Amino acid sequence: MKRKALLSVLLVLIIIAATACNGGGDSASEIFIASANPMTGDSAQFGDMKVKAIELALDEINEEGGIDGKNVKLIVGDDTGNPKEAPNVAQKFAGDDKILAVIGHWNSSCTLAARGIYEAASLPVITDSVNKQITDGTTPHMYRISLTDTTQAYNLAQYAFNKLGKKNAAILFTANDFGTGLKNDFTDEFERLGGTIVASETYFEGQSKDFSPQLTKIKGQNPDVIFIAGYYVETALIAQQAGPIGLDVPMIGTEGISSEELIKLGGDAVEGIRFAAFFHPEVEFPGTKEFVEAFRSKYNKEPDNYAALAYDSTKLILEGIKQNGATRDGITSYLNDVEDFPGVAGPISFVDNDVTRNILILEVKNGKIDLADIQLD
Amino acid sequence: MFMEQLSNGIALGSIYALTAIGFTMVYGIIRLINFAHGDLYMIGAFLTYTGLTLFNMPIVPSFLFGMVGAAAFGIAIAKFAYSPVFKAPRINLFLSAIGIAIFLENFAMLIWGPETQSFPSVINNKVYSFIGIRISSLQLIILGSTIVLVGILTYVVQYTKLGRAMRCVSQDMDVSKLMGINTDRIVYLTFALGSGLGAAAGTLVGMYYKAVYPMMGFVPGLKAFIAAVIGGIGSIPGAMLGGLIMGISESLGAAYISSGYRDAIAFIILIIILLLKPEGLLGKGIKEKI
Amino acid sequence: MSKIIKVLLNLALYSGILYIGIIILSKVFDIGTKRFLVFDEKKKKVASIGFLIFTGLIPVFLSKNTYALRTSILVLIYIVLALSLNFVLGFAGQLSMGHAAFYAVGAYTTAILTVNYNVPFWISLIFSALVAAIFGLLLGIPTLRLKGDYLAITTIGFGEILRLILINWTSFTRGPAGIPGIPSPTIFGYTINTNTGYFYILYILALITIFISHRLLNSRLGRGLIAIKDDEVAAEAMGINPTFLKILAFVLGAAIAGIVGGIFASFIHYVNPDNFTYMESVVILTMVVLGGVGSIPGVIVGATVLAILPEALRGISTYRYAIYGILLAMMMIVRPQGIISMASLKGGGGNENSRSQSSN
Repeated sequence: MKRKALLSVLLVLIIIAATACNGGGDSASEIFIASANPMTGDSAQFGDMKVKAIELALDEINEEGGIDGKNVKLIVGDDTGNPKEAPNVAQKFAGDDKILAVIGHWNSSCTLAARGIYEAASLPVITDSVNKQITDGTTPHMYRISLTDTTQAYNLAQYAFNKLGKKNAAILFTANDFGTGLKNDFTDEFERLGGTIVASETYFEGQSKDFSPQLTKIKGQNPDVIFIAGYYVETALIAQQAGPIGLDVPMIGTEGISSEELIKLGGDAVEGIRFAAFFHPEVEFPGTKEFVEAFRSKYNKEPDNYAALAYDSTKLILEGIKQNGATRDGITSYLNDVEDFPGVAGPISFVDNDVTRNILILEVKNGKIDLADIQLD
Repeated sequence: MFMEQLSNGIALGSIYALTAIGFTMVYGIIRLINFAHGDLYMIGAFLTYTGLTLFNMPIVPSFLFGMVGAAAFGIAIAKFAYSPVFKAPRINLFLSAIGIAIFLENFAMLIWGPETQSFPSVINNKVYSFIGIRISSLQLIILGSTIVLVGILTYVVQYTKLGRAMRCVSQDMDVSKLMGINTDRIVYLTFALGSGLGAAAGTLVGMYYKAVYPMMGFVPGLKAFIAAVIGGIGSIPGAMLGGLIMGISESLGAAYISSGYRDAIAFIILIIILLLKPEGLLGKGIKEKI
Repeated sequence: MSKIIKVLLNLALYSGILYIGIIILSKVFDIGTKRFLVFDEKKKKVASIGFLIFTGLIPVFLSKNTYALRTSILVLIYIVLALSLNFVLGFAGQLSMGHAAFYAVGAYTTAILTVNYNVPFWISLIFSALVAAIFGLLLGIPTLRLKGDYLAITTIGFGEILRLILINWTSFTRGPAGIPGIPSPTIFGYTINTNTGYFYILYILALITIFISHRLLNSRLGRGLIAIKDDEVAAEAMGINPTFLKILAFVLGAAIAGIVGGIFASFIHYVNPDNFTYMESVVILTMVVLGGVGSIPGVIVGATVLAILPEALRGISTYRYAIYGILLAMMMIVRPQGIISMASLKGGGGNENSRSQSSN
């Protein structure tokens, strides 16, 4: 019995030693940045897309020989999209001095829960979460590369009212901070313009699959446009289920649905949906074409909004390291000063930690995502 | 509008019912709350999806592939994770099942990736409408297969030799063994059947929503549990009744109360029924021996 | 295809490591408890005090490593939560799967009182305990009629309904956006906002909870609860009032979970309904069962292992929860009585309480 136990102890030690050797690396000759995004759980696909884009950017720089001869490596953290896990990931990165910058927290709730920890460690973070409180001035190391929910909602409300001439809108929103924030801001702006919100219904991301009661109820209120404040999976389902119910009105959405997956999942039903986005392969900026081609050939997938923003975030951080050296403060001061950095989704400058960029309106046409004929001014 | 919401509810309810049948069957015979049922439903849907897309098989063989594959998974789970804990306190069985459920979800994520996959459309989903009610052909297929399966299973359990053995095992495993019943075989068979039914439900739902993803079984697994308890756990017609009640109440609740509280409605009905009639609507009260 | 083989090989490797780990840990704890039990009272006291001093000094050892310190705070939170569930499950034998609800009630009470009404932290903490206790009473009374599986699904339902209320009642709870900016507590004019400060608050709470558990277990009430768990009818015949004791267990467990919820809210300065899902209840339940239902040291070990494990496995992030699932099932099979079972603490291990010894 005793010998058996001894043997197993030995075995475990060997295994641990073997795995430890694999993981070790020479940190002096390498530079580390981190991704803190959902890799498992309901929103894992978004984190997956971001990590793919970050790795693409790192591969590019490492093929060129890295920065000053040092390879740049990515450490992937998994916040599972849950604000309970996010602070743990944040603390792990914040306490690890070799990590220079973090790309992430896709979910606003995660960013909100974790931002204090990053701040205490002066660790620069570039996020694509949209909740406006993230950049309320208390966390100067937190940069946002996408636009706030408020800006998006205002723009979409103006688009629906002024450009499409719609007066009665119905809202279908996902019950998280993203969806409720959008719903409130869209309602405010649309009503300020003189329109009416005839119905606001909710659902749960990753859980709701059946939208027929909500859609039937919306149909009863006769809206002339539906605003979907959610992500692409549910939007595809909503569009599919609207048809059989007999609800045939134009739908608009946010950057949350700007993905090729929307069309794969929704098929014909999503034809004609218009939505806000920051990135489209055909809206070319310097590097856009190369990025899209490299992404396609490496992953056999179309890069989406989040991939493009994650790619730009990585490039920004790498440029900061190149210019100001491999320190957290160097990257932070670079991000503060950067002006019109040539990103694949348009030039990037930060004002009060928020990016300034234009909103594109995209439309699903003939099974493809295209620029809409009518754009915002 | 009421009629439309009612038909929405029946369509949704038949999906719950279909999911609940396999669940309640396993419970009825082995007294095991199979928390992994929803995940076997997901595995079945993914296997059918793989059959359709990777192996380019037509729908019927793919469907069978999904059912048989999920049944194999079910047997493996029963053998390695459940039967070693049959004799331990019940809570161990319970947690072993939860462990398997967590494992299967993440296993699917490792194999098929975390993103939602679009299920190829294999059936022309026509919409029929009469007197204000709209129903699509897939909804009819789901409702139809639920009714047929309830009929077949009730027959098997009540009137065949196998069914008698199953009921015997459900009452007392040790005595069944003494009576010459190969209880292991019955347990595995029940599992295979339950998992296959789960896979059928998962595949039909995948077809209906045109989407399969690793977490797709979590909510249906919980809802199947509720539907089974409402109808009387272990009772196959009860599961169908429970599923329909849930679907209709959810649909009407979302329409007339609030869509935000939609999932709470199922639980409220559950709690009310449990307090008034703890054995469920069609369940048989089991008197505890003292 | 090669991907599937790779995944399967990895899973097999990790399961192998887990299996060996479990066997070794079990051996270590078995020998440990046996050695500990033969100590006389004095030695036991010395050992316990030594252990307390050692754990109390953790922030000193970890002052450089903030991540490890933060993880040890989480361990303490889960120890208290698991011990509070142990009142319900371990002592009264009621299978509650909605324990995160009480934790949520406590966290939200503190969050709302401190942020919206500027109530001092310590007073809101008392309210957290009170409100959670009321919810414990609310859940305790109707569930008296229910047992086992039915009780489990009802408590799941209770937890989910509460979470939906937190999400939907936006005017009161701010809904899914959560409540940010929960202040840190102050003692004698000092603001406690460091990890070390929170560690000691929770450390003291954990000690109090252990003390209450210990006293309760060895009191008339505690013995009554155990009697009910073993055989309710017989217990009633002996003049024990099961109704009162079961509700007491629920209320006490809920109140403690409420307190730790309030501290948690202040610790992360942000509460959100997603913190309190059904999975959270399952995690707490798992800690109790894995450690050994009813056994105080067992529950502490279970909570420690399961709180550290996900952090330790962060390196293999995509495999993390798959392994967690395997571990859960494997533990139930290899060591169904828990790491340190109640029976082994009594010096037995072979009596009828530990229904089955590991059979392989």
